[in-house]
Amino acid sequence: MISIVGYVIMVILWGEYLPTQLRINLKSREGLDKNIVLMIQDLQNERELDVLFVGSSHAYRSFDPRIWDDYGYQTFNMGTSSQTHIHTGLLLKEYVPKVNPSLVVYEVYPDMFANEGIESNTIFLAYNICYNQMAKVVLRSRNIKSINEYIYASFRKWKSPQEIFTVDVDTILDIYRSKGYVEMKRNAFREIPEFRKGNILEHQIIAFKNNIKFLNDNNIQVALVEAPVTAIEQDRFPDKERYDQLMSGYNNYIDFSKMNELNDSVHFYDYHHMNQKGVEIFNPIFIDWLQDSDIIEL
Amino acid sequence: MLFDTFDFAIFLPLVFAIYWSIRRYGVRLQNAFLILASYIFYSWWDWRFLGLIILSSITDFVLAKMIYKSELVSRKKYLLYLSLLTNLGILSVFKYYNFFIENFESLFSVFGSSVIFSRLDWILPVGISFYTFQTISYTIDVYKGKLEPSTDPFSFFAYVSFFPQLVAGPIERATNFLPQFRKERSFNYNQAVDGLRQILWGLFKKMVIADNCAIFVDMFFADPSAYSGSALLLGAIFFAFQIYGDFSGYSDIAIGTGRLFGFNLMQNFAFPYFSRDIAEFWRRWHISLSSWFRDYVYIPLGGSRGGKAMTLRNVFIIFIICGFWHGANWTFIIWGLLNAALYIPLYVFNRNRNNLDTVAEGKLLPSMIDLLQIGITFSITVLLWVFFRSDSVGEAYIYLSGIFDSSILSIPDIQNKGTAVSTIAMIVFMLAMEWSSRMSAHGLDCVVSIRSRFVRWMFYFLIVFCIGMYSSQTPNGFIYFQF
Repeated sequence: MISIVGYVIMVILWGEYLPTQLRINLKSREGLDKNIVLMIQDLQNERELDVLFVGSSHAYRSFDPRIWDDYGYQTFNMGTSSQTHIHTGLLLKEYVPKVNPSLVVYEVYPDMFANEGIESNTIFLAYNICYNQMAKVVLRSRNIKSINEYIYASFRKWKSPQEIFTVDVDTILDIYRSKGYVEMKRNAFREIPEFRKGNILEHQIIAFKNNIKFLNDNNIQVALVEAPVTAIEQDRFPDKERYDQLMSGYNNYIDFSKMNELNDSVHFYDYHHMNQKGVEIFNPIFIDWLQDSDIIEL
Repeated sequence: MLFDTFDFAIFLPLVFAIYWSIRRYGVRLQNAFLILASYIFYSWWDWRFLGLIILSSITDFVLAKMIYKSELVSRKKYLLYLSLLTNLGILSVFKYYNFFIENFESLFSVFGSSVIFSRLDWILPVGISFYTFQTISYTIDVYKGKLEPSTDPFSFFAYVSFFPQLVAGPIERATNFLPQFRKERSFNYNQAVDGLRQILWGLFKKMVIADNCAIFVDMFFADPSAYSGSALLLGAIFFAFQIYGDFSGYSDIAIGTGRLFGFNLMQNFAFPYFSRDIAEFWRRWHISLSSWFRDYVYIPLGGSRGGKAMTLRNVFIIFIICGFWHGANWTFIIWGLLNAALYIPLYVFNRNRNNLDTVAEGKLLPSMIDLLQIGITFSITVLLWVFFRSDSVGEAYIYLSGIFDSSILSIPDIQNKGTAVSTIAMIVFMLAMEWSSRMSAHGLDCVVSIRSRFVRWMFYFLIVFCIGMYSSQTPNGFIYFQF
């Protein structure tokens, strides 16, 4: 017991007084995707959406609500960095009753089935998102970094319960436009080292199925979409066969990962994110597909 | 199952509790339970290869008995060869088949003919090199009359599959280890506490040192041409600590776990980076393997009894086999050869046994000469490790050429500088602890001599905290599992 209390105290001291670079397993807010703060603030003003987007950075970098506005759809992008299905579930349960969407565009991607969600845990804890549900998620992750983040986040929440986060809309890398969409400033493709992806995790599959069930139970239509990526990215997953098998069980699934209309070196800024040029080509094609499939009304 | 996982954190206390609670029913039941636990431990990785362990165990259990009973020397020899053929045959097929095929094909292509043999698309069973050597040592010892064969299959099967050292050693000798399975074991509190201490130190070395070094090592070795000489040198140094933290950390956890169950496993690492020459390094690095080669290859080959030329030949053979044991790749063979090339001058000038004692014994700090010798030996080791880590000899050459570039004097151009600084600080901490414990069995032994219980516990707490705050979040498995 003394050791546990001692450990908690040490984590808090480390978080308060040591520079981020010198605490490997307690990054807190440093180097994180801060757009989530703006997204959550924006989301408070939304009611009765036509379309809600969820998923990883592929979602908030691919579905541009401004383009959907032109087609007359009220949309919001609730994508966050490395959002795993467990975290999608938390967001859906928290915000779907408030925004009541007719359709949820659920961005799917093999890596998010193979991701333990440590980065998402950190982001959610750093900005008190779904804080009350995070204890369970952290304990299930069995990850020491997430435990450290939880300890420190709890301390900060206790210290300033009504903390208001302020974040710049315009940063060196990107601009937060509105309704959750984040536009990358750089258009040119740049190689960034990518590591071999892991295998699909059972608990992420369970979380994914639960999310679909939750939406079905609430009579919300779902479209499962794989956003465009470069050719190299498509071959990175060791468990692709299993992923394809899983997706083949869903009718409203569409794979845009290999789009002929997009060129790897022109329409992407890295291996798996489109630049704005790519986004502007992709969104109308996707809307057409949804309309042709009678998933959304004209 | 890996030692640094949550699964093992549940598995170990559970097995420990059941093992000691059934003590009153006799050692046979305890051994049977250990076999079951060990097979579960191994199956966690892949149950299909359990058959190889069982096959190896049955073969040597039966053949050793037959060797012992046999009156005829020729028959004894025949049975020994049968055991070697079975064990080394399994090892060769799984580990070396593709390597030989590829080299045969290259050889044929030199003479202008193109021959393609089919490859085996099998994964290498974890720990095969370790348990195979352990069973071989048993049969050879019975053949030589050093040991009576085991009549109790439970103790023998438990000896072969004992889970703490099943997949990465230490490679135990039957003469030392098997008798421990035959006698009754009683729980010794002090031994168990020391075991826990050693496990804690092993986890620190693996999770904090090795796994953090691995982040940089993987980055530098993936594309050496993208980095400056100083960064590549740092990468090579990090690899030296990665492989040490990884393997000696594993050994510490294995030995500590063994102690929890009342077993004494042999020391596998004796602070090798404080060695003053390469001969001392090899007496301190992977002791169970180097002494295995000494006892079962070097001495049967004639050892040092046949004059200098014969000894030199034997030394070369040992180092080449040692390299080859690590993997089916020319990089390991060259690594072994280079070690031999550095060892042989010491032997020729009768300096290979100069440093049999512990450095700066009884002193707080080393002398300047000791320090210089340690520095030179460590530097050589670091450069040789480049062959060990590279995927091919060509890549090793590119890496080494990259180090000896004019940019070696620049500041290393690396990302994650904070992690690098933290990792270096942790390495310094580890070296300080191991220096203080260098005359003992493991790196945390120095804490035992601290009188104040509070200070001792603060040390343990500090190490637990370091594991919590500084362990890498990209676990790498254990390097030696692949061997």
